[in-house]
Amino acid sequence: MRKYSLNNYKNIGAALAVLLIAVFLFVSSFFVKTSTVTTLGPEFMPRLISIVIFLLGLMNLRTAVRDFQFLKKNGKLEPAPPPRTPKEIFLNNLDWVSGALMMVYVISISIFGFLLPSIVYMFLQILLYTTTQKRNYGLYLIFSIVIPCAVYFLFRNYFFLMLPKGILG
Amino acid sequence: MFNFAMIAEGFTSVLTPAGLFYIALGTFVGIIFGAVPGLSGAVAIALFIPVTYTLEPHVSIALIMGLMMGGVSGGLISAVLLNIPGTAASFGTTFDGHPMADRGEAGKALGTGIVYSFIGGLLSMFSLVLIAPALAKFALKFGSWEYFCIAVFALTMVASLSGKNMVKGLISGCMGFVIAMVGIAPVDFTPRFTFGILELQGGFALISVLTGSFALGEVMKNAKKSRDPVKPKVATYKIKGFGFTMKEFFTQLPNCIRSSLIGIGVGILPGIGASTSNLIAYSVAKDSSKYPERFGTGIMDGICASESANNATVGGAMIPLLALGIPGDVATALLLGALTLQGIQPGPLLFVNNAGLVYTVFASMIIANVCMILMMYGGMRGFVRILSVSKSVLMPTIMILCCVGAFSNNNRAFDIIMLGVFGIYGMLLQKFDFPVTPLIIGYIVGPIAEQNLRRALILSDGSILPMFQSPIALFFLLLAAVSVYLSVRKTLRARREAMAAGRLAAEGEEDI
Repeated sequence: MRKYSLNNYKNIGAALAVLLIAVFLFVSSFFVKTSTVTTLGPEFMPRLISIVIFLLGLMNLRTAVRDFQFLKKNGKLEPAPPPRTPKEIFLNNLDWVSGALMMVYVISISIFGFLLPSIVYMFLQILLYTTTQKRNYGLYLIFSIVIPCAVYFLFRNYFFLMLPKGILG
Repeated sequence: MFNFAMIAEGFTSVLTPAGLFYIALGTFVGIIFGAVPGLSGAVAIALFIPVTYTLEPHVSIALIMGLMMGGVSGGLISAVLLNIPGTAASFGTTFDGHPMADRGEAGKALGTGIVYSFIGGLLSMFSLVLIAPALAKFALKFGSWEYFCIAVFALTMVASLSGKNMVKGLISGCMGFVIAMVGIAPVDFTPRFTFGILELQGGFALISVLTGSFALGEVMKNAKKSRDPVKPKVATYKIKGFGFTMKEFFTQLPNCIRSSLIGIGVGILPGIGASTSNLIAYSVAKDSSKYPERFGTGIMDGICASESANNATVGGAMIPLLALGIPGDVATALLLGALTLQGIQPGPLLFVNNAGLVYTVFASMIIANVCMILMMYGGMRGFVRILSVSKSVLMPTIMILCCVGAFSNNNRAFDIIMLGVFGIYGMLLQKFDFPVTPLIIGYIVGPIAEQNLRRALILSDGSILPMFQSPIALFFLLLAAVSVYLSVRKTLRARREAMAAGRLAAEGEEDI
């Protein structure tokens, strides 16, 4: 079992990710096709920025490693959390669950149109926001239908904004 | 100079039942569009242009001015109440507006934004009438080197707005620049980092980046916070006047005037706009304040700077439009289209051949500004009550409205998907303690810097000497240097104090 929490390594992980992004960006800049002869081509800025990001990433990594060593030396590393049940993991990561729900919603809008995914999303998101003891499913269903429909009709019929159509029309 | 007869004629043409109705309608719709994250005054103008076909020219102008003033002011509402900027022009308002609302002073935050928006708008309108031709001539002196140096100065804000960790802030700013590079490169229109995906050729829409990384992060965070047993402080509904005292009003006046001048200055330069002016004004206010450490904690200064500048930019943007026929931003480009449809050609001869129209624009802006302050003041207490709506209903509604806004930009479902992607990205940045603000600055200002640098080097055959020969460019480079020096000095001082406190604590422990 882990002795220390993964949170202790997050800054080092982030710094390494930044370095990887810088390297990726630098390599990708060589694939930018230049079609005209100019003093500074379209590949110049990506290369410059990737070098800047790399240098900043090295500074960030140095700080992250130094802070980690300081915490380790003084015995201040965050201990690993006790084993959690799936429900506890779920409740502890509601922000990410909400994010996953949002991603499913935005992708489904392009497939099924605006209205239906919005109704389903709204209902599920309200459930995520509320505790099991205080839920009023009937009221949530009413909100989930009325609000997306109101938005749809307001923006379609009064402001004449286009909304995604999808396979259901 | 002031021509009182022409001013009177301008007001007379607008102060008709039809004129007043359309100004009020435009302002009201503009406020709604500005308040909804993803929509903006420009979208509202685009929707109402067909309505102007059937209207008299002065009434068309009245309607569009109402939409512009309402659109730029409406962003204040969501910025303060929800920590989500309604438009990019209100981005700076979130830094202090929402913390103030969190403290239960939402009314004061809104009141501050409303009043200083009004004053910023008024100052820019007077500059439009008094010195528009002179300012327009001055704007013509700005070439690619000058624009590049302004962008460099604006980029130095990344350092001052990075919070505690400047390195992470700079990385975030560079990432914003990278995001802006996806799509077609400026000058030679080469596709960059599209990886063969057709939709990426259009790049990432500002609304997807800004609303996604800011707004959706709030929606996700609140899913966890809503289950906290500790409830946030309830907003006060009993507000006296605008929520602040006369003493506070006069204290902020110098800040307001300075920020308005920044807004006017940025507005007269085509291509920069209110999305940059509010950030520059905020950064300047913070750097020149006696208590910069309090910025971001919920003080009037931050809201005053941002809102004065963004409203002043509206009047500033009208100057190159009317005097030179050059639109400064999307909204003025649409206004140019609307005027052309009415048979009116903005440009140098407008002040000679059709001076009455300039004063009609002026009168419309003044009345729209007054409508804005009346509507926002009247709705203030109602807006604050938005905070009492359960977050479980409010947050998903905001998400739905953000999707509407993202789609309305280009009618692409891809923009909605990117909204979600940047929402996840914004959340990741916050989890790893990277500030999001520099990302947005890098995204907005980076392309301006690159485009103008490349253009300038083409024009000067690769030589950077013209940059040092231009007094305007040197002025902005000097400002950039001062800004960097102040930020670095502040960071070093904070580190020294932290180390000294750590040493004292360590010595204290040893004594024990």
